[in-house]
Amino acid sequence: MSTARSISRRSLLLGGAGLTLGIGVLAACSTGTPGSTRPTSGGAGSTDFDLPVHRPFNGPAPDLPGTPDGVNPGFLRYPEVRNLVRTVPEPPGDGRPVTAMTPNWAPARPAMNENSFWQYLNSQLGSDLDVQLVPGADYANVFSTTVASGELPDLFTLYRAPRLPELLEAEAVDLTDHLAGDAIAAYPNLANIPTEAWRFSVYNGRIRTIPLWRGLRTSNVLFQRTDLLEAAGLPTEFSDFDEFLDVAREISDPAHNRWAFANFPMEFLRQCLGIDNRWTHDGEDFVSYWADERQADFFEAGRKLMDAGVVHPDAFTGAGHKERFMSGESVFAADGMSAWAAYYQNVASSFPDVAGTFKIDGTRVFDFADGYDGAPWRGADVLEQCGIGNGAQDRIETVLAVANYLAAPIGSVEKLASWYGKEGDHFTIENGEPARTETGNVEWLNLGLLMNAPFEVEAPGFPDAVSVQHAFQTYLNSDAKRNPADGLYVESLVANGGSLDITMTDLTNEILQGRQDAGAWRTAVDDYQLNGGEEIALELAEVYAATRS
Amino acid sequence: MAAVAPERTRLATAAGAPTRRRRRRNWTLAVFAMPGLAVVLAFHYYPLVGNVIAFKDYLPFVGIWDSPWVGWDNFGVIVDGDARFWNAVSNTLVITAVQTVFVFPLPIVLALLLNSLLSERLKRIVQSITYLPHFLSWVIIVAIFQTVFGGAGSISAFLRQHGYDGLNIIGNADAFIALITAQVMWKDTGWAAILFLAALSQIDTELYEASAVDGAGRWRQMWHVTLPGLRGIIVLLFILQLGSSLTVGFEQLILQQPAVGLRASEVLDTYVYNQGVVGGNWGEATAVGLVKGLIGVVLVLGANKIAHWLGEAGVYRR
Repeated sequence: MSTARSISRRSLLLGGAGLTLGIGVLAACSTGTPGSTRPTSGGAGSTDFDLPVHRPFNGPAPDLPGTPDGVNPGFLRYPEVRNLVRTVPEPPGDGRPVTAMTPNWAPARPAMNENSFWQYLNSQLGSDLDVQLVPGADYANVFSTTVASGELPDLFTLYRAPRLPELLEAEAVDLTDHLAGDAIAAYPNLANIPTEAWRFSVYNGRIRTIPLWRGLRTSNVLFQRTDLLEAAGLPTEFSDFDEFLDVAREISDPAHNRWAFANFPMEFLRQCLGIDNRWTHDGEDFVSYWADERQADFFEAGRKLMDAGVVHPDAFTGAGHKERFMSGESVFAADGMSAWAAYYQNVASSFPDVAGTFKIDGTRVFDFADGYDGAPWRGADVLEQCGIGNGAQDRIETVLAVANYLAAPIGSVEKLASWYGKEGDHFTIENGEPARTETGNVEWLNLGLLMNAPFEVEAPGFPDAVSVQHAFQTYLNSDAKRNPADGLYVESLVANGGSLDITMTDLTNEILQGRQDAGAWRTAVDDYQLNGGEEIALELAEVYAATRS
Repeated sequence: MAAVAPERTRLATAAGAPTRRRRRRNWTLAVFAMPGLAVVLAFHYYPLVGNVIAFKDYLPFVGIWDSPWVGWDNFGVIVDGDARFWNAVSNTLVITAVQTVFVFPLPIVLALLLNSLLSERLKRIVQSITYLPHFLSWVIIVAIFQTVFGGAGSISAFLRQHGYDGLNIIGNADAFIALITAQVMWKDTGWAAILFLAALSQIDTELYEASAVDGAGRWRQMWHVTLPGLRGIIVLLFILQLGSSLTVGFEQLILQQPAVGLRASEVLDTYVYNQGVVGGNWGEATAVGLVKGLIGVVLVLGANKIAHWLGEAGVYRR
């Protein structure tokens, strides 16, 4: 128990930074093989079915269109509420409760009998949605103990537990016959999920979960305060590392508490050097990016940044970078792309004196120097997946129909109902967009990690956050490297990858901060290979060959 | 109080009261003890059974009983632990030694100082202020220290504004042990002093009066009256602390690890977390925990024995 509490506190302190120790909801994804719709993930097994076909939602068009291979559709405004499309004609429930379990990062909600939003949702579903909203940081523990008790609920957010394929085979309904190929047409909102995303849901050759497609939103970004750079007359795009370093020097002013970097731009520098996204795959062998020759250049460049005094002195504490970035104490911050809209919202509420001018963008990756081929990295298209517990076997159509309801996209009547509730009670229309009332704010259930439509980019009141992000995603989509291990379930990676990475990340920090010599890196890479890195690479190649050929 | 109870038992036995009669006389007390006993059994003893996963390849979805037995495999890390394991062991021992020497005596000193205050009001105010930090969680305390001592904290900012270099205490691996020891002192000294204050109030004032009549000054009084009066509780708490000497604070350390790196800050608990829990390797995590617990028991019993040899009461009277 004390462990659980500590994790939660740490996570709070870190503010959900790139570090997601112990809270990682299933992180797996696919590079996909264009053209083929045969499932290729999760280990060998029968592949005698087609992945579910993709039938995009045909409702109000987004202002900025998305693409099924990554770019999220962008809505500058919420679609006109009177023109919404109905995607589920009848309440999907059968009157019996549907149980569910999902992590919740928001404050706790009033119980069902005191929660008019929840009751309204139940009435729309035609079944009570008996959902357990687990505090996000405790989800790993609750998931493990629920699994141990042998009773997973009807709908549950999957957690990246060890031996996942066996776990799902033992505890979750096989969805293949219900969803494969054209069968998915019976659930139009599930059919709105791009076909590629379903590769993440195949375990031991069968579809065991419903993927939540996030697209490029999962990528990491080196955010920049465009407003501050422009005000200082400095460029916002850079041609090489020397120019980048000059600008960082120019904008830093320790005497007035300003340092260019709120945290250390680890991934960004590696991207500029042309290092691959976690793994290099030459079609046959996998090589970890830890073993890349260019890591030596990374340390040299990193030491230059440190010596120049342009990195915030608390950069390595793992906390506070968001505040430093928003307040203007720093101009660059590495963070997840999903923080984009949140930055605008939090600046508006916490830093009102900055809010008027606040403007951010993702920093474009440049070629480190002549002879280097810099390219950005992209995150996995799918992080969360929704499983259906064995207890729902005899009413699987009903439970899938409920999932279908919850997967309704923006532009549908159902999304408005499940996200905003009932007009008048839980939201009102302000300037043509829905805005939650007091009651709505207190009572609404965020089920976005349980089941969701393919993620849209939407930030009511901050159209800039949507359009600039959309442009950045479009840039990424043309150029960014995928992690070839995404979407492959590799047991040794799940079991040892985390702790091996902790060791390497720790040494990276030590070298950058000057506590260890860069020469220590080579030995550490040898140790890494010996202690399990090599085994992971071999198993990756094996699983890749077994599932992608 | 530990001294009184056994005596009464001995008297009862001496009087030759048959067990049955005693039982009849005390059954109401037994009933009162039941709920507490149930809680202890359910939440302290029953979970101990779960320690069998130290000998199993524990898989949550298979359950404790159906997971395969693996013998002593999980203990391998202790027997032929890698460099990181021994680094964690040595950090743990250094931290526990430093904290025993510097942290343990502090509440005694504070209690003595408070006890020497004449103004009840001032005493109460000081006591409240010093024990309040105990109720703050580590995440708050770490954040407070960061805002004051961090590289961009108030001290560094002040120095920089006046043309000096900043002072980076939080990110300085060499200062790490001093830093966490200072945090523990700040957080818990006031709280721990409460026990000693209670013990101080139990010392017979006649002893002070008598020694004053004999011409003892304040120092002699402290040496010959106060400290002997506290000796029992000091020994008791010291022995109990030995039991948890391999547990040097998980939350406090894991929160501050990124700033100083694992070489300076990895201890047994965070090693288990980073190696075992992150990878879902529950069996190994339990094995290390089990060994830690056993060492704690051995230390407590051993220290208690030594206390008895030296004529102290220890944790219980023989």
